[in-house]
Amino acid sequence: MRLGMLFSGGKDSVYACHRAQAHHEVACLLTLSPKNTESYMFHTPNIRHTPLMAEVMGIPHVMWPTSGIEEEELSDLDGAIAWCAGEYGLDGIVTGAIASVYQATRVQRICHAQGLWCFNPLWQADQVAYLRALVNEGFDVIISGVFAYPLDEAWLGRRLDSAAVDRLVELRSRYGINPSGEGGELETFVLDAPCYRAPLVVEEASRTYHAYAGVYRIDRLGVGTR
Amino acid sequence: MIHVLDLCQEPRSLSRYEFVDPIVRALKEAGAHVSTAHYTEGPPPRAARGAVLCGTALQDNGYAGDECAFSWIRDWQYPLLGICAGMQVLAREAGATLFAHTEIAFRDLRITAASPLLGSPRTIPCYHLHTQAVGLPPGWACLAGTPAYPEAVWQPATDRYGILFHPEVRNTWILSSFARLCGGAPANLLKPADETLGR
Repeated sequence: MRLGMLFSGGKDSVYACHRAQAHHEVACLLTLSPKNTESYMFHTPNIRHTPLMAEVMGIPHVMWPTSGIEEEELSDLDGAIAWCAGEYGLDGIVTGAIASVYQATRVQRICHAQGLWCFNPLWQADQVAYLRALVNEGFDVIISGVFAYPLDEAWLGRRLDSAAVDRLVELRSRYGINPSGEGGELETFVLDAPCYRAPLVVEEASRTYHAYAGVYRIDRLGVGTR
Repeated sequence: MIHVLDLCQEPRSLSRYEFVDPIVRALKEAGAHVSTAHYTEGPPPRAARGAVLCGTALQDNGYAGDECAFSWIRDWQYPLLGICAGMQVLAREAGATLFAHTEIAFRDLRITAASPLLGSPRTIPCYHLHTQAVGLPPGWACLAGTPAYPEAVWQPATDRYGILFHPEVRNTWILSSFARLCGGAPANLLKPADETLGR
């Protein structure tokens, strides 16, 4: 099958893409770029770097604008998927949804209406096992946004290594956060992955943070060598 | 041991992560020993004391055209649970007919009759994802929905259940309940839940 990947640049979409590539051809990455940073559906920090991510993954990329307003963005997604399906001859769509029924039902409906398959290879995955798999399989992931207590400024730009996963598991026990950020607690950016031809390197970054909400903004991103 | 049957279009498909692995994980978390195979790979092993027939992607109805692969169901003597596509297979084997019915929603469902699997009548939120449904097989009880559009069914004499919704979403207790019906291991034999990832 030829599949299109809903791609935010976060760990879930990169890992789901990696899984999809083991079974089918991922013919394009589709990023919806919201004007509204509170988008219900689409991840926002550092989304402007997704074209470079697509380049190191060797997959065509489509950046599609969306209002980012609840439900309106679904019609944007519908249009974007239809366009990609025609342009790249897609048989289906892949998402990185883990537990969001809101996200899953809406993408399923759009795909069904367009006669496309819908794949969610991380659906209902055990979140801690998933984080450990990322670390063990060579995904270089950094925290690019925090949006919940007790995630403080120190998390911004932090690598998701075994120690970070252990800490997130501890915070889940104490504060009930979703360790993979499925509840919107944190956002991530993937600097390297098995499906990358070359790693990405943060050359310049800045942090904004206030009251347990902050963003690690990558101001300049380069391509490194292995 | 509970045998989990993958009804997706081919063995080890991309859909397996979505429709099979979460079922396996929930059963293991309930303390059950689990084996897994694709439905084309034959009947459950002799050691199995229960079987689950999983659901499939919306576009995937290939299982419906392969009745021979499920002929073992007629003589199976242990509890069976069919989920979505799996319910359709079980009900069709029992004489019911499939019909087109699409539902993609997370909504409340009223359980209208008591059963060992679903417990007492009450309302629970359920994740529906299907393009086909099946009528009520003769001699089966309707546990939820209506006889024309049953969403949960039970054949008490043979301990067979069908549920049209997906219990892996917010209702994994149903899988724990099924593990108990199969004589699954107690919770203190719980295994790590990380076996669906990293392979």
